[in-house]
Amino acid sequence: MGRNLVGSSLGIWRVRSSGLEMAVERPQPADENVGVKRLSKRQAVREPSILTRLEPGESIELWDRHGALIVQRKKKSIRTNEQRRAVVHKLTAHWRPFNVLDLLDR
Amino acid sequence: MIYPDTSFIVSLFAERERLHTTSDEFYSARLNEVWVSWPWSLFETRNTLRKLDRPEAERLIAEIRREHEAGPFQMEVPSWDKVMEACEEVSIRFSGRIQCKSADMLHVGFALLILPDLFVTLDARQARLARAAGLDVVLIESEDPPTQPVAA
Repeated sequence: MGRNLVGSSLGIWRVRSSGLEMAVERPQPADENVGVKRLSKRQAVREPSILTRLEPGESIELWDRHGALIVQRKKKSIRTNEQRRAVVHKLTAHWRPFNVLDLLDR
Repeated sequence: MIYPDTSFIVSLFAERERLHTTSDEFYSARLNEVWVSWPWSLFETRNTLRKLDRPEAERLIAEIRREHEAGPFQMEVPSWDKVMEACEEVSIRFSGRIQCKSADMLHVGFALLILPDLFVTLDARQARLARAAGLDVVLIESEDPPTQPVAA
């Protein structure tokens, strides 16, 4: 039975056989050719989900005729245990003593 | 991986809770571990803090969220059906001999899905249920921090 290969933009080939579709990895080429296309501000406005894919610390350039706008997702800061303790102290040190098990039973 | 129930999370984030110092020491010694929460445990935590009727409660809740974004806490979102299935099993096996609230069963049911290295609680009854279900349990019950899981 013949197979019909259909290329996709994600580097995945779909193998169609007997009406079923199965996605398989394309064999790795010796040299990778990666297509890069500039994103425009207009595209980002029309499809904001492009920006939600950014991982913390990653940035992306959006172009229009005036130049590039760099959008960067803020990197997550790592907080120390002392910082946590300080906030907990500031917010709760003046509370009346309590027993969490009593609260949970209420 | 460590699963703290609501009693531990509240104790950890409220300095005037009876066993806060012990909870804090226990947590501080294990910052390299992954501490797992899930939507139910976080909701119960928020609701418990709001019962105190303090204006700082919402800021404290934001602080707990921050401990997920930049600290060792990690939220898991399980399939509700699977949690219910696990709870049902816990209920069938243990409800006759260990009197526990349904909310306690939710914690144990979820823990049975993720199988943490330690289940941490301040509630002796919940500890008994979790232990009976086969989990390694640390019960925080005094000002001396426990170092090992309590034997069944």
